[in-house]
Amino acid sequence: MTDSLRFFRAVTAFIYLMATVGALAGMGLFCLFLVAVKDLPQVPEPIGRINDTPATEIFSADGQRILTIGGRETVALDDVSYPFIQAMLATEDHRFWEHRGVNKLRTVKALWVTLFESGKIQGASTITQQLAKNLFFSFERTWVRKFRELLVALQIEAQFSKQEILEAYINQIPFGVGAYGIGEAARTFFGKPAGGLTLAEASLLAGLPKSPTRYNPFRYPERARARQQVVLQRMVTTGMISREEAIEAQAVSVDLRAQGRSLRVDSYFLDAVMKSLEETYSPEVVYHGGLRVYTTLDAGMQQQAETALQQGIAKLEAQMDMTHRSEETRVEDDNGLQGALVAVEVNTGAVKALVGGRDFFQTPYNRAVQDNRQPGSGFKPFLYYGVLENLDKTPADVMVDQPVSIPVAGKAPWKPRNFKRTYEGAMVLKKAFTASVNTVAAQLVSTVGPDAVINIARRCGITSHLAPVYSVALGTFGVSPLEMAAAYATFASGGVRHPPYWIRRVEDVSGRVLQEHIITGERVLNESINFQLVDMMAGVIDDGTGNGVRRMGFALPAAGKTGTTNDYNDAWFTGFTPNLSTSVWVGFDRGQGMRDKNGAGITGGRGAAPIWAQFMKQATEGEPPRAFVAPPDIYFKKVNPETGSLAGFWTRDPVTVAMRKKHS
Amino acid sequence: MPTWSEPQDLKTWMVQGLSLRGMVLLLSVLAILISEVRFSWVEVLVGRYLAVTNSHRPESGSVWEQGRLKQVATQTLEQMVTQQITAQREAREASSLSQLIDGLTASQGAMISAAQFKTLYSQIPEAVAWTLFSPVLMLRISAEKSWDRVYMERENGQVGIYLLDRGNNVLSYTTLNEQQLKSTGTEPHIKAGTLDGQPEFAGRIYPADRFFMALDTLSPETQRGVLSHPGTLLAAQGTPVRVGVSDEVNADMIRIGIEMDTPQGRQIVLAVGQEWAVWQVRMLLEPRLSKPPSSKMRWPLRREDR
Repeated sequence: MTDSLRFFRAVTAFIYLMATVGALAGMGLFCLFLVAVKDLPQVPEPIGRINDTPATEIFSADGQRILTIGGRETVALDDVSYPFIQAMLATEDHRFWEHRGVNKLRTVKALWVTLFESGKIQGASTITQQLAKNLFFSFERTWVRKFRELLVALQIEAQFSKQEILEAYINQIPFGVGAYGIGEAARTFFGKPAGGLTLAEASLLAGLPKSPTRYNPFRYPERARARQQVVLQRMVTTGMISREEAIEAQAVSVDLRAQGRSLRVDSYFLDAVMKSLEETYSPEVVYHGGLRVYTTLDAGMQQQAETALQQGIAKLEAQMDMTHRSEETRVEDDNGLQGALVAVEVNTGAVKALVGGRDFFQTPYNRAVQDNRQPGSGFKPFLYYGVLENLDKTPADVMVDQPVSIPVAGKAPWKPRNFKRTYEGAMVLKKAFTASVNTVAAQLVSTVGPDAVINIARRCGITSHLAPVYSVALGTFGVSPLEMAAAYATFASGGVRHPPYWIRRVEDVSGRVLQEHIITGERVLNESINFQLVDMMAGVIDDGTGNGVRRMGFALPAAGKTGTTNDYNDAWFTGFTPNLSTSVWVGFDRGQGMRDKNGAGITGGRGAAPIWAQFMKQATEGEPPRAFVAPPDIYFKKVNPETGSLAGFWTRDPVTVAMRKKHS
Repeated sequence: MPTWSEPQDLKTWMVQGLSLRGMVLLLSVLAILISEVRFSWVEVLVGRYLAVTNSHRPESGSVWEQGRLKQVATQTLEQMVTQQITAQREAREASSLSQLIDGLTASQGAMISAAQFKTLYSQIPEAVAWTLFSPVLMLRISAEKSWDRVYMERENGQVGIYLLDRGNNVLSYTTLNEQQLKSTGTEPHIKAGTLDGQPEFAGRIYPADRFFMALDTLSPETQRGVLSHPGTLLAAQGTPVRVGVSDEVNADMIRIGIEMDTPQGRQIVLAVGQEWAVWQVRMLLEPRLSKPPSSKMRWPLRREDR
């Protein structure tokens, strides 16, 4: 056999082999087609149907739309800015107008890389394939799923025009921050319609679908800018823009919408609203029913609350020398120093602002409503009201601050101590309250009984578990900031309890009312006794443990109470004006104590009160001073702080107390 | 067709390879491949086949799942809205307060306009009206012009009535207990049987003619206090035989049972009278009751207070 013949035989064999492989591959593909086509999903007609779910919209108290869930804003292709279309095509599928659903060359190349270059996986999905995947398939990566996706893409190409496909695609892709589709994305990020996007804005947006979280421009502006550069480079490479245009667009500073960050999908307030809605209406109705939800949120106050909490915690971290700590230490600290703030309107119970942590994105745990942390002395108002009501005492009655040992049946005696570890002897009740003297509180609870304290707390709206033990009066059972703000609002309103709420009204998509909140108020406390307590609580802010509030310049009539727990694990300040009741908590999720660089503990007056003051100053800005209204049977007298007897000009630091006429 | 055999030399190879049949086969394969690359007809064919068979395939995948969820949501909402609309319509069409209250369910309250509530309120016996909201309060709230709507709901076996302003703030609130509920109708409440079967009337049952004769001797104001809506009693079927006075006083109101002889047998028509007025009749019927219990003597004063 000659060499030539041998060559030809080899060529022939190769051709036969290739033909056989080709035939087998063809048959294999055909079989796979027969298998895959059996349960291939039906494609909806028209393809725009994917966008017709009505959106659930949530509005703030002033009617501003703060969140849209589900539903898609469909924008016609003609109404989308041309640079965006170009940027999207350049980035995702520059041969979109040419192929019939699959880019064969790119697919072969991607197959080669995936099969023969170990550790590498290359995608070659066209826009049509991506649309098919988004509409019908999970994100599971299997060959069969990929093949079925390809078949659906072929059908979509055969059934719909390129314009229809592109329009469907750009109206359903996720851009992050809860924005689906170009219309919503343009509004969310730039506050403008999709038709008004500039090249710089369009290129920034076109880069997001690849990884909406990773390139979130609100959170990672640098990454988003780098991705924008990649998009612009692709546009230059594919001939859609010139290099000069790309450089120009890159140089333009892109202004993101200011409100996009604060009123985003993941705020704690909205989280609480969503949970309530899901409980009432089921998730299907909330996400697919198209509700109109009108909330009590004051957008301005919410912003002020977030700022006050974040700045306050940052200052505390500086005092605690936490800002320069290593990553390892931070991990040990769990989520770092955290806080929560809830503001409730006194005369209605409407929640005006609610912040459940420093950043929902990092820790979605809502400390404002879910966390049950010990309130410490913040619970004493319930004790003192119980004492005034049940023991018929007055704020001028004298108690002795001294070491106490209270017998407990079957257990060791209870020996609570003062925070300062010092004892000041005889003092009137009001002074014991404003100075937050634990030994006096212990004597009072041993007389009035823990059940009376629990009874008052329940009447004011505390719903958390409370056990009938003496220490309940010193706040040893966990409560949430929402409960505290609402319970203190009962004191602020003269003893009328308004249950807290955040949903005013819910309507269906046609505007038919499904739910309305009725502002009910129930008198749960005696007006006069309540006023005596409020006067004592005002003393906390004016002269007591919460006087930092006045030092920070908050001048309106207000009352409140600090709270600090053992080892400085929790710092609280809850206080109110006649209009607004606000509770602030600061602490670590795992309950590590808070101490400054010098080892001094962070108390409620030092940790939470400044945040309260900063928030309340802004929230009540422009409000005229309005005093708490004294009932007709109340009169004031100045008494000696140690003996309770009427003060004279010779009395040092007399205390003004509110008295009821029946005690005169 | 000759049997295929492998060529044994190069010439035969060339002849067979470049034959017309071979060339046609090769060119056909090439043409198919090139035309597919150029025109993507395989994709088009497959796509068209799938488009034609589209309607026979299942509605599966996330987009259809979304559609189903939307359908569930729409149905759930529609159900809720229908229930509400029905309740609202029934509330609007109610001709009496008791009819409206009867239509309330544990899960469904009713919101009516202030004007409708005023109409229904004006139809209930004056004595019962006093126990709901005093006419003075109603006049004051009406004068303030802030009163917009009334919400009614069942709560803990009672009915709560909230007078609301436009901002849904409660201007006034009251609850109706079972006994008051029975008194809110303009229609008399009817029970089958005789007064002897009702323990609450034991020892206080009088012949109807004696009772009404005694009533006739009293002042018109007292008569109105005992039977505020005699017309509705007259409209009831049958002839009065006996009258019973209940031993239970609720909110200064006392129940009166009038046993009627009807073609269907004995029936008791229940009405509510003001305690002080009923006491006047009882003093005439039972002279031994020389004076009412001291605790009840304050009634006219309390009425003045209001």
